[in-house]
Amino acid sequence: MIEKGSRIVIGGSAGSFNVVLNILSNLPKDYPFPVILVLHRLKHIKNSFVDAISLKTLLPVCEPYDKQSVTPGQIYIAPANYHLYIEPDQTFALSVEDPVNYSRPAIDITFSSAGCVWQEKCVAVLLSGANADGALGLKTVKSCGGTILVQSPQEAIVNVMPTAGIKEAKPEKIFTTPQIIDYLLQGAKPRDSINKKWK
Amino acid sequence: MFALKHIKGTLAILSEHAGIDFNQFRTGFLQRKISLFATACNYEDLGTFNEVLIHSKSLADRLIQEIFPSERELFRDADLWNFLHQHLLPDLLFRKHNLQVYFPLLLHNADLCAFLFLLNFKPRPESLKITVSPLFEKIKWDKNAYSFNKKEKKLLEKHAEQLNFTHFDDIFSETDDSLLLQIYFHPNITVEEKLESSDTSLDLVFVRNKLLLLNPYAQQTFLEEIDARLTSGKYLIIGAKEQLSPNMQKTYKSIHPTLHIYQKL
Repeated sequence: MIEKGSRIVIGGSAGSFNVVLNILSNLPKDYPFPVILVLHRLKHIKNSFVDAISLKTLLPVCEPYDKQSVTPGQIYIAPANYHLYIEPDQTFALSVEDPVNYSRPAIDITFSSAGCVWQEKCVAVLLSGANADGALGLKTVKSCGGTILVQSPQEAIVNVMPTAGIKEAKPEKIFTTPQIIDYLLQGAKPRDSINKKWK
Repeated sequence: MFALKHIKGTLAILSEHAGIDFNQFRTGFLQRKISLFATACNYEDLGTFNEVLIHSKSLADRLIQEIFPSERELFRDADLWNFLHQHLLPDLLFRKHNLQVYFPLLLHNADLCAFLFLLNFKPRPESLKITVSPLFEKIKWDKNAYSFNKKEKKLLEKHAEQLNFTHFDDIFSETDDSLLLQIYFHPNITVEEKLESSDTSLDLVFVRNKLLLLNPYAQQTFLEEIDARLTSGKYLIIGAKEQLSPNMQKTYKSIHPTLHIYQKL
């Protein structure tokens, strides 16, 4: 069961985009938690990402500005070419430090800071991807008392990222996409899904 | 990650070492950077790390460089510099032939960044002086820290002798001058020897991705200082994900959809 006041952080790379759309399309309009997406992408791809995701969800979608507060029921996408941190005052902090794991935004950075700040209220989800980014962050979330969900490598289009996450963080259970959706919908009214086909 | 109370001890040592007021920076950011650095140096507790840090200038230098991100991306943003050369500078030079450009800089590589600024600035001045905070005097230019391309190397050989640094510590005395670098460019390159903090006006201000590092209060103070020195028609450049204060949003207009260049009304 997701605790009241939880924050969802989803990380993914190659092969994760359709899974993300599947998850988001199933969240109801009054979803009570913020959802933060950290997805690897080319740095010149900007707002089209927000537009593409907005088409598939009832929740508002934006790229956060630096020092913007984290609000429930909002989907935030880590901006291209910035690392996304969570500050102790519950605001976003963006950074132009060098890439981590060849990536900016780096999933490890967002997972780690979210885990440290939100602790047991942090739910981190690691999806398909072609490198090990996110694995260490997932371990941090777990050590801080948060919940970790890793997409099944058998299901993932590219299994390097979830496999690394499993190896590093040793989750108790591996999740298929429908199981991730069911988990995230706990404590929320499921949307009368127009996208059941995604399941 | 190490606890914030222990991080404060590290910051006190760094402040003593480099004269930086770390109270201006975001705490979570500092906590993460120091924790990662100490862990990467194989220190499991920060107390031991701090004991070593007190006596190791080189370790402190490395940590400071680790804390502050690189500046180089600004200088390789062709869109920005093209827009400056084609629109902003002609507009400013049409109205005023002594430009005062303000470029706040992080602690390290101040002279390197000043040089890159010079390379990007057209028309390239015949001679110049660059005014920097006294803190930058301590910093040696490490040419290996930056990968020059062929064009830059050629210009470096030609213009390196032009770099002539002078120091002052007056203009932004109310904030942390360790964060700031002042550069004054003029078409004929004459430089005012000293600027009084109360009556200095600026023509063009670069603060792109610098506000990210500051805490909300320091950012507000910093922007107020900048705003007070920009008169009508002058320009301010911030980062894609930085925002002007609510008051400034009413008194500045965006003049480019993606470069985040604002002109004071």
